[in-house]
Amino acid sequence: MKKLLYLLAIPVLLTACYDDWDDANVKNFSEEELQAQDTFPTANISIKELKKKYCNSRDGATFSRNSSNWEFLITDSLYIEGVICANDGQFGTNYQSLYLRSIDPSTGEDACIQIGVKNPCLYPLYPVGQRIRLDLRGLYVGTYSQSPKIGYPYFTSSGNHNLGPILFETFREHVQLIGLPDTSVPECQDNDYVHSNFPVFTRNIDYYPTIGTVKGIFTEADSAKQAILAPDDLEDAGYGVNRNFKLASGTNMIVRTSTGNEVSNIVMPQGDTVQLSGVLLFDTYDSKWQIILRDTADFKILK
Amino acid sequence: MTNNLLLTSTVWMMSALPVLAQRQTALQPDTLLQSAAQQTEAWGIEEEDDASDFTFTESQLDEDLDAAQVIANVTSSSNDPYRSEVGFLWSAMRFRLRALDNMYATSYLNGLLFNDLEMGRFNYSLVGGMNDATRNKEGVDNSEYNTFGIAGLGGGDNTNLRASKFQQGQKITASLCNRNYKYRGVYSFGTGLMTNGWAFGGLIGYRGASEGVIEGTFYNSLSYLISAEKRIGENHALSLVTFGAPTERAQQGASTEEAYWLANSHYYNPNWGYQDGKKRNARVVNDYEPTAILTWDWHINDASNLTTNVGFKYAMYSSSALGFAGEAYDPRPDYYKNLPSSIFNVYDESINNQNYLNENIFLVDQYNALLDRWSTKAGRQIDWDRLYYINRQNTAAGGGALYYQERRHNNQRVWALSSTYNRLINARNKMSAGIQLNSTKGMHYTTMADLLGASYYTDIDKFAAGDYGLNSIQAQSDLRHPNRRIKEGDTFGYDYETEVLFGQIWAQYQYTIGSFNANLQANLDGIRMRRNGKMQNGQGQLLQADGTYFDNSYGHSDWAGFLGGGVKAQAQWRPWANQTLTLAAGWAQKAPLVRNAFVAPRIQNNFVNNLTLEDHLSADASWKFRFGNVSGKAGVYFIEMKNLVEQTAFFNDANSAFTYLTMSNVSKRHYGAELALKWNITDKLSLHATGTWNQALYTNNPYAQLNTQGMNESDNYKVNQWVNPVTGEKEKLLVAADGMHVGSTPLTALNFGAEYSIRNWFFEVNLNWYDRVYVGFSQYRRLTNIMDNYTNNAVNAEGSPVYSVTKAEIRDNGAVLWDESTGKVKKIYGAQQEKFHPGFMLDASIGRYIRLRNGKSMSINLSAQNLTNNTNLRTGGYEQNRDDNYYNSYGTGDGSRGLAKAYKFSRNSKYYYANSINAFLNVNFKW
Repeated sequence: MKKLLYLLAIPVLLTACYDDWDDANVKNFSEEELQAQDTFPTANISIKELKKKYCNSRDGATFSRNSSNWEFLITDSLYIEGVICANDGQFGTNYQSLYLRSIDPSTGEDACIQIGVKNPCLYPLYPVGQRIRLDLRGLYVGTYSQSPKIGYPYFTSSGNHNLGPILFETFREHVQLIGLPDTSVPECQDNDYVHSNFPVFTRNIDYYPTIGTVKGIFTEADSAKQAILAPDDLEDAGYGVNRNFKLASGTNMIVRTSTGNEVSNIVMPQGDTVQLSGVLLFDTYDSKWQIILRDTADFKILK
Repeated sequence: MTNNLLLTSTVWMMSALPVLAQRQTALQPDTLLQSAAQQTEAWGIEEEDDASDFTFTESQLDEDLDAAQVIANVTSSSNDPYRSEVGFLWSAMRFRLRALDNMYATSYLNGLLFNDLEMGRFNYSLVGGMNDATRNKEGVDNSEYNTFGIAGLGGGDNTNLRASKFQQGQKITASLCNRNYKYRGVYSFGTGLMTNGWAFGGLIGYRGASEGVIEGTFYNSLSYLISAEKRIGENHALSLVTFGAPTERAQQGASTEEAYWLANSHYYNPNWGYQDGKKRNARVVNDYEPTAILTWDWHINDASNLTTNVGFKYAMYSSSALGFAGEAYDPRPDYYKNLPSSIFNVYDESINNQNYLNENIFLVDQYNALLDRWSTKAGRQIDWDRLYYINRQNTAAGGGALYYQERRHNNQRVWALSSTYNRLINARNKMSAGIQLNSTKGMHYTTMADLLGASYYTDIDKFAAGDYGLNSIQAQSDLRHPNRRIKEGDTFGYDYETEVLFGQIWAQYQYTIGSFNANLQANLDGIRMRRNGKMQNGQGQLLQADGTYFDNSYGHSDWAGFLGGGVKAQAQWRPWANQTLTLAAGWAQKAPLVRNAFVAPRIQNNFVNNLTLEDHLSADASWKFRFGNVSGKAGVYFIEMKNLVEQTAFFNDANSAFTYLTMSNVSKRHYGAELALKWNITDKLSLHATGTWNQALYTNNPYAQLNTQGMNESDNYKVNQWVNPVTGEKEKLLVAADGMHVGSTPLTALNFGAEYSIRNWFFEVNLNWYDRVYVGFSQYRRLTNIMDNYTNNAVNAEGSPVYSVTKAEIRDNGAVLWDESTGKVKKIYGAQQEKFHPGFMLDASIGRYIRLRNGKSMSINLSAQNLTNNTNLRTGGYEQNRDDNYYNSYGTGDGSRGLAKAYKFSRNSKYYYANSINAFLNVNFKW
């Protein structure tokens, strides 16, 4: 009988759960998975110089679709360094984008450039405040709708050849993380355009992209007020909605918001002055500056 | 490099199989499956040693296709030479009798109907690993007279679990195989009916594999059954049986041919990945369905018996899956954006050519970057460490889980009662009659299985949040607990019950005179069903004219009731000895299944439109014969089904939402021929041949109803619209299903085999040929508002309309052709359904029976399947529910088809392949 009981007990012991997992050991994950394994040399070109060289003119471009869209394949060993000042954020408002900014502590030279990366959830991987060094060799630098960008060519859904995002698999071979994220650095602070006007309200790649704060009112038709920023039925071909916004200085700009995220559901106030923060770009189509909010916290109604 | 690209990108799309074979020899030996191992049990053993033991079949049950368990009706009908063979001959190819779903076969235990009321099917895992206890089985075809109840279109069987029927003695079985599990051990016993009127029988067993034959899977299953029977006086017996098979098993996932090619194996499994260097599977099924049946047998007199059962089952079934929140990147390793062919249209020769790619070298670079990703095993599997890392990063920033593992529960509580009266009226007349009652409560909910390093997950619907905003009521999974922070083990997402009450009365009568007999069967079925929401989902709140919301989610729905039934008749004539001609016909009306009855059961209480009784019409004719040493059966059948309702639920990433697509008014027709032949050349050597040709078609374009979770009302309205391009009027949305085949089963199968036995040695070899296996077609891709609609742009000389669409375009994408003059549809074409290549499979077995002293015996069996190691036989698969184009359905768009995507979903169905060479060794010892 005892033998039989032992026999019966064997299967019970064998059926201990297989699917039982402790937390993964991920301490080296970022070192191994998110960056190149070789150490990059220090930066040999500033972001400002890079923009000046490749984003100002399409002369000599590897490909140029028109006067707003071109790209240069970088064949030299160029390295830049900066701090991620904005990314797609928890609501994905800057889709597949990182913004790399560098402020020279001695000269105050401030420059920022967009990096397109083909991944819809970059913010946990490359958070704001993370300093990175980028190996540009093999990547493309140019403009997308006149906006300076590091990326990779692609065909848009309309079939146009443009400067798009870099495959994540490629990007991580070209990036090196330096230290831990620190959002207190100057690069992560929004430029204050509430108390000081834009330096230049014209198309000048020295000044965009950047991050900043502005103040003004929505100048949409009355019927549109009390509507949300980006309803589906106003969506354009770029999956976003443009809203007219007038700064206290009288300058008109665009608030651009993609649909289908939490920021798009912010209700535009009627008549109230609002303070907006976010990524500032120049909108080629409207020849106006535009702001893209990063988060719902970037929208404040001023009483 | 460009040349390489051209080569690689075309080979898998044009002819992946030969290339795969080359790569298997050249690359990654770790993906190759080990050559044959061991053996099978089962056939070849002496008659009394249970030639109907289907252990090998059970090991091949396609448990991973839980949504459509496919081994339909492995019934061993001892008097039907065709049905008794095909169950094990063709199980490797997931053969389904007459291409019918399992729900059309009825399974009884001790006379108690055990098909589940929600899915309609008998769940074979209920009795998994219990072959020694379930071999006392009576199987019948659709119209055959029987003593237990009404058989379905696919036949029926009744398993006798009474202890007195267990084989007397004890038995230990040990098995080794290279299938879902690798080792198996069973101890079984039966006391027989003892002098004190008691009988006991039972078994306990274990089947397991730390890694099954498919990489990343495991199997861990205990089986037990205990049965007791007490004879009370001369005329009564009480029997109690309880059994269960707690099972934990990791699943294999289907993938595209491109992924198989990249992984260098048709057995690539995208469901697993490395976590801290160890293999972890994302999809793990836990299944335990403890069951008890109390049976009272009353031997009223020599001509009459009454059997009454009360049964109870509590099924605990759950399966895990990865989930992700917000904009997190899809964690599936074979997600289409991870595949090289997502970079450009590799099927378009104007793009996939030397000149074009040289001009656009960046396409080649990206293609190769993704190709490289697949070159390492870790790169082509789930990256668990990354999921943990991302969650921890987000947690550090104050956020919740971006990735998690959820567990979807489909539990059931079943009470069932049956009573069956059998009477032998006289030598010519006999009858049976009975009732079946069943009360089933289905419990469906999701729990948080693993937060993967995060500390919480917020219970909102991310799709609805995208459309309506985080603060909207629609975003809430449960308005009674808004924005609830979910911890591991908590219920979230959805939680609802279904309540089903079923009753049936039935009767059968058989009359025999001379060489003629006929039977008549009739049944009347009543069913009532409703949903009970345990959460108040925000999308189930209906805005009313006065601005208030009507809750259609929490609490009970209305009852839906159906009264069905049917009649069947069968006539048999034996014109001379060993010749039997049989004719049978039947008509039935059957209630729709509960699982198809609700529009979006996870959210709300609405029943689908056009929910009505299904009509089933069937006819059979067969000839069973023996001429000297040759015996066999030949038959034809015809089945017509109308007013069916079928529902598919899928994640539609075109809309980024979980979507229910319900077809109603579905018509299907199955017909075919079946043949079984056996030639006993000597008393030791015999040859057999078995074959079938079936046709199983959808015969109309049924109505379609889409419900997309999280989509706002106006967009939901849009996706259900089909606009007449001539008149601008709205039409009823249809699925272009007419002419589509029932998929994932061979419609043609042939077998030639030989058996030889000598001095307790048994040999058998079988050569099987399979053809006409079709992919499961996507109803979504064949919606009339997803396909291109064309209006004739001219009329030819004969006055027939001319359309600007080619036959090739119609074949690839389908088309709706409108007649401008009448404003009506001229013809609807569904995209052509893929038919898989035919193929052979060679199986063999050898067995030895050893009679020992003192009544003890031992048997050893080794069987091997797929001896030629044909790794290219597709058993099934399904088209992806995505379109090749973007939509203009948002914004100011009109819902029309937009520009083409680079990746072609229509060319990338997901497939399952038959096992490579495999074997089963079975040793048992009886005393």
